[in-house]
Amino acid sequence: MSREDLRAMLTELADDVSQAQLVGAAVAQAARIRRRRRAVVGAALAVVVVSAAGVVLSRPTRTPAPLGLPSATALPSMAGSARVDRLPATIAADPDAAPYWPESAVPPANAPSLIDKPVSHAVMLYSSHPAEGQAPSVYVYGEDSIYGGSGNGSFHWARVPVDLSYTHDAGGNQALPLDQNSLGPMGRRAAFAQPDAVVIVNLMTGAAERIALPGLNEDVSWLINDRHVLVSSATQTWLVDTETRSAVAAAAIGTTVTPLVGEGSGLTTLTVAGSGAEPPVLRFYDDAGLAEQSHRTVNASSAAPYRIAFLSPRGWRYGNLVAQAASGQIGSTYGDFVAVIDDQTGDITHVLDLGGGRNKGCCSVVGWLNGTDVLVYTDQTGLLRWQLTTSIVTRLTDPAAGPISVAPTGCGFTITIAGVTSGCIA
Amino acid sequence: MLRSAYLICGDRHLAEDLLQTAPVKVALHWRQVRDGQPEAYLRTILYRDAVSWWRRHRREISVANPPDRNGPDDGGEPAQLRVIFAQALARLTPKQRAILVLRFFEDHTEARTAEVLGVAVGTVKSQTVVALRRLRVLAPELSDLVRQDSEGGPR
Repeated sequence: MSREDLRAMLTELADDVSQAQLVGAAVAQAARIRRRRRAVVGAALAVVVVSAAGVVLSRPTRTPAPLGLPSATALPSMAGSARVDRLPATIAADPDAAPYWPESAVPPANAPSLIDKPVSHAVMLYSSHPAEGQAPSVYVYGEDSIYGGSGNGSFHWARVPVDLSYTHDAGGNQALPLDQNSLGPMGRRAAFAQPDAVVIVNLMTGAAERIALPGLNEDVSWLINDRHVLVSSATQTWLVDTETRSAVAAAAIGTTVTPLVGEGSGLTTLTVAGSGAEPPVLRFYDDAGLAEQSHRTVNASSAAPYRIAFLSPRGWRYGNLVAQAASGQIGSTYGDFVAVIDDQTGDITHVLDLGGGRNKGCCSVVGWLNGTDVLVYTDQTGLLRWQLTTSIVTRLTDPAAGPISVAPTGCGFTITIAGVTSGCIA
Repeated sequence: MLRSAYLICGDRHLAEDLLQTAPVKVALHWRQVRDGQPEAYLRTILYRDAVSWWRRHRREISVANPPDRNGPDDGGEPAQLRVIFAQALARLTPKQRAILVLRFFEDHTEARTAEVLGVAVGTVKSQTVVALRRLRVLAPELSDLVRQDSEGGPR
């Protein structure tokens, strides 16, 4: 047996799948994206023209997204001791979204450079795979800056003027440099992992600095003090002080850190051990992630029949609650859901059932609002706001083809690193 | 093309997602590509996305019994070889899988394979050898199947 048999074996293996008629759907989806882009450009032109005439306009009422018909929220139920909310079949646009949240995560094609049009603070970063042969670009959505200072209530997209390359691992597998936690606390700075470096961008000025850091760095995670960043490769996590440009080895694995958004201290990670058959484990570290202090196994029965088998790349913590997207068995079926875990008891307190039939890696938690609302992003529904107190789920931003990063904006935390205490009074 | 994507990523649903996304990208750039080779552009996007997607999500931890893999029910020797082959293939890097699929499933030349994946021809050559050698190590039962002369073919 040789080449022909290898081909035969591949062919036999591929016989599992049947061909699908997807081209028509692709053309329709592309047309929708084009229409959305034209609408954004058209709206921008309209604002420019009318502003020139001296007429003050308020932001136009946002058009409901294709799935955004008003709907009743599904009634919550219980699983174990956890309350279960379900994603409604149609998700209403959040009435409070504009102008803070962009209507779509896709920036306009003619977005200015951040140097020409800086922001007072950023709300969101977005990136997508570029055309062949081009380097990846990152875009920022934030509030306009008045003379380089405070915001004026208007928001815009801008291109982050920094040369970034794809990150890659030892096998040469590439990924965009934008991570889920690239956007720092309060949206002031951004960090991007690069081979042998981490790049820090001041989003209020567009200035970038490159800090040398040996290794195939692939992931970043800001600490809430807006000064330290955890930078990870497949084999090492570094705690980088962006002021002194120094780095020390961290004990916490950066890719599993659940960044603190507000009201708390310390650093936690959430992992699924071994084959995924065991429940997840929360690990508690000092504020810098330099030493593990304790760990707690998640009480899997608290959300039965929901069983976590996969964890999405990152969860987020507000106070004692960790919210993370997961997938796994739901009774006799398989699906995706968001779990909120009380790190003091290990119990899962809330579940948002996202349903089945989604892609792997479809869904992630990207932050918290006020400690009561979880920000959930899915590639089909976009950025969602899940209100834990009311079970209501609304859409903030339409989905895009690339990853996003949302600024953590919580307060009430206290952390101490190298004798320096940082805090925020709400 | 769906089957090629499936061979690279090992997940039918993901393969369908990739095949659904790639034509969208082609359609968005239709004016630029319609006078060239849209099919080749589509294939390039698909393969590169497949490799890239796997990397982005490789930190997911596999469950003991993946729910979306429909294996054969019979326990005969061909079926066992098929399972062994699938498991060995899954342990290659995505780029190595892509190279094997392009070279031996789609029967492309080394030059064309390099063009699709955006790598040097030398990389295709070396990674083909490495991938076949690794298959032999991972699955000795298939040593005849993936012996060195599998590396022959169009160049």
